[in-house]
Amino acid sequence: MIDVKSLSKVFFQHGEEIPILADLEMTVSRGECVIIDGPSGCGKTTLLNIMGCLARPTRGEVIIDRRRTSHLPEHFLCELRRSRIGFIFQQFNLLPGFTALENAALPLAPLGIGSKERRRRAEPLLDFLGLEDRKDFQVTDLSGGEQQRVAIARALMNNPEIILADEPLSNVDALTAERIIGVFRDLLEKGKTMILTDHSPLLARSLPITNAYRLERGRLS
Amino acid sequence: MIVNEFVVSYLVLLGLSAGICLPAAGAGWAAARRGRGGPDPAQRERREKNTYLVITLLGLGFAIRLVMIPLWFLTLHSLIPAVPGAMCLAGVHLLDSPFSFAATTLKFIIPLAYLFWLTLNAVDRRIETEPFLRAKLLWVAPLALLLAGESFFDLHFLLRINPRIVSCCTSLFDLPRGGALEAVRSAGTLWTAGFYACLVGALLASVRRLRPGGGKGRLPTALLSLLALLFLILALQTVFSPLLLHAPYHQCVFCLWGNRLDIALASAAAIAGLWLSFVGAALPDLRPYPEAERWARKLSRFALLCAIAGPAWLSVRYLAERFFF
Amino acid sequence: MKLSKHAAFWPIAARNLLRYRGRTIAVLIPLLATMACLSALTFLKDGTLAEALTALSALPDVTVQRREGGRDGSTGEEILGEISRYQNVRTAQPRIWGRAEVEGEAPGEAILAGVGADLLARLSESGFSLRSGRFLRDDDRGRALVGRLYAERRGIAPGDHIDLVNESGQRVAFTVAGVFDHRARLYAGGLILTDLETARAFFNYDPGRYTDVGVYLDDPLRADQAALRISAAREGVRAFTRADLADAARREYGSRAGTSQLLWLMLLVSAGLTAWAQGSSVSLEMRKEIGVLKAIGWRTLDVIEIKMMETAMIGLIGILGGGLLAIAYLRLGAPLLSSYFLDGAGAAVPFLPIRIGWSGVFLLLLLGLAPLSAATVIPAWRTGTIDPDRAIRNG
Repeated sequence: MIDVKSLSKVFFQHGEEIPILADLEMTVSRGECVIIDGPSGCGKTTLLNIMGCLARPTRGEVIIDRRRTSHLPEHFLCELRRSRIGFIFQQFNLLPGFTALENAALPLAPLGIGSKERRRRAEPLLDFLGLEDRKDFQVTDLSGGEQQRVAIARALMNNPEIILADEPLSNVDALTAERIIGVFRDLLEKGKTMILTDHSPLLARSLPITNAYRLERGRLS
Repeated sequence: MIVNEFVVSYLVLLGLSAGICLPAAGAGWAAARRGRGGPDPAQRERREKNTYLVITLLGLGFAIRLVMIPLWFLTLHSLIPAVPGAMCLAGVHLLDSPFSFAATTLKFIIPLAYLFWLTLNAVDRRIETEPFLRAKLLWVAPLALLLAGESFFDLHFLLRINPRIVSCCTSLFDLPRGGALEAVRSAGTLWTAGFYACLVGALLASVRRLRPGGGKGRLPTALLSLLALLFLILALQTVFSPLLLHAPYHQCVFCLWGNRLDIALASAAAIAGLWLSFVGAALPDLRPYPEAERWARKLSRFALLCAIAGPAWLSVRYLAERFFF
Repeated sequence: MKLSKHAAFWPIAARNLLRYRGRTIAVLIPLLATMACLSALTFLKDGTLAEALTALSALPDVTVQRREGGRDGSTGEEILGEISRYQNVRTAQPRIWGRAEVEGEAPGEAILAGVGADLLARLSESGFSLRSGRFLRDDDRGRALVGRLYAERRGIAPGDHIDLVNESGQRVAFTVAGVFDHRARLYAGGLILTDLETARAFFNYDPGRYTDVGVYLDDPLRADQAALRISAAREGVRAFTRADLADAARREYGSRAGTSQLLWLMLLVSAGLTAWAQGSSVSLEMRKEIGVLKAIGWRTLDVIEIKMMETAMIGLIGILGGGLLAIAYLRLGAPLLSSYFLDGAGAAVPFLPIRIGWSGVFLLLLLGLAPLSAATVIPAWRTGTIDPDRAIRNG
């Protein structure tokens, strides 16, 4: 499903090259669950963002279902992200000033779906994630665990095949973590492809991991 | 210079419009020269940013230009009291002919040029390889030239006109006798017949093109649509306006549109339909790009609808006036 | 183009305005001031012009005056007789009129007009209607018809006496025969009608002299030709039609409105600069939000569109709010603006003519939205083209 070929990423700062990723090769098949581990600052988020077409590699290629993404214009990458990829961020990244339901339904707005229909589609997802009583709360009034579940609902709104989660459990309590792991298991059973980055062994222990990679000094092992 | 609130407002919007669109040309040129940027993501990002700048500026510029058309005519209308002898827009135009006529003509040509560019952009953005990227970025320059020309004519007219007596209320085709103008003025039947003939031809060619498995007939559609558009303007001027204004020798499309709102709307639909038919047919073969081709066919269908509805209403009014009133 | 997508964006754009209230208000305040100024100007100009054109409708088809040494002189019986014989002239009516000061009031409060029996008998055809009392008769002397607004301001009723002062300072008493109304409030507010001889005595005109002659035509559509003929027939005579007066009114008030707009331009520049500055200052939090939106599938053009929608909403609020402020300002008498606009009205105008017409609204919409959009298009582009990867990481 996702092929990473000779992928390199270099950042430029004050005229200096800072290599982050170097010649990575990876293949993730449909329905697999892949975990990428590594010390802080090793480039896990960068790799995830490139695989999710949020950033472009300096060299190399990400191929999603035999479709090369490096040459795609920005709006095609957006289309890809909208229809096939769901992002779950470490910091939740919800929009303050909107309710849980409105945040969860944000991916539907560019599709021209009106607010009533957006509500109709988002409600079952929030119920599934145990947020039936929190739908109309402002996200700033939710706990960390609740916010992360809203973020998960947002990631799943367009029914993506690929879910990328960047340290999804790092800002939640143990109970919420269990809950989220349960959700991930459900998604894997439904045939979703998941790529996660995480420090803790909890995910590795709890999910049917197909492949585990370690990213260190820009290389995968 | 004659000062009133319309003139001041128009000058402000002219400045804004030029200030938006002319830099777009610069951005387009820079982006076109940069090319696709190769594999370097930073270069690619810069080119994409510039392209978005061009699209955004031209989009806003188009919207402002569209609303400046009725403002232009309101401005001209507001100048009538200041021009002794002028009773309509044609009389005001005589103050600074031919700059005034050039300015007014470009009011119609520029939105059509914009429409062409916007259609090309919409098609290009539906194709992964963006095959028309360089073409559309380079085409901003001629569009900017047209805009610069129009701005020059507008400014020349608004800043230099002074109240002076014009001979009388005349339309373009009432003026000098003899010559090409006289020939055009008196060939109303030819223009009307030519319009309907070309319209029917363009519609048939469009329908044939839009059939499943169709695709041929781009050239006839484009040519016939353009000709129909030209004949429409001439027919409106020489035949429709005297008939519908109940003034046998008064050939003035401005008076017609100003006094008969339904005719103005029907004309707008017909012009939009014929021009979009031309644009749809003038686009390169999009069969290798299914998504883009689907969109282009939707556009052509919409154009067909306008090109039928507008002339249909014009015909109803023509027949009603001719045979019943 | 999917219209539903654009419709779905509007509530989100509205919510963004509320979320970033400070920025919204910062742009709205100068915009409200700008639009209030422009709206007041537009409504007052449209109202003044409409009032002038309404007043013109009661005038003769052609008005004939005599010029002596470049100034308005008086016409005489000989001109009257000559005009009456022209083809297409139905009747030529002499008039004597001028300013009448009212004792104890500011100068220029009223115009006293003396008209002949023929016109007095046909006042209703010119749009005059009787509120109370009676119209003037052929044999009335020293009696007057006053306008409704004039009467209401001073508590005048039929049978009352009013004292008017002529140019020589003489006080002349009039008895009010009736109170009239007219759809032109200029007449109802400042016109006093009397018979020709009473007016002659008031203004000290010699027998056989008049201020001007009102010409009524069989075919009013040929008024231009009649005016031309009359002007050409005698030296020093000028004739103008209602259309000429209407054009003069349009020119004059249009010119005043155009000149006053220069003030608006200065306010507009400040509103535009504020909008640019606010649009350009994108906080780290906002950058992150844009990055997240793009991560979940919003395109660059979607973000730009939302930003332009926010601008459009601020513009519409500014136009509406500015319009309401303008109406309040005009209701309070429009200090500064009214004295400039109504200068030279001939008589004190006891009301402020206000009109909200479609062309004025169109201009306001255009001038409220276009400059604001132009000022924010580059900031919107900058916001829309934020790199999502960098934005999410760093804000």
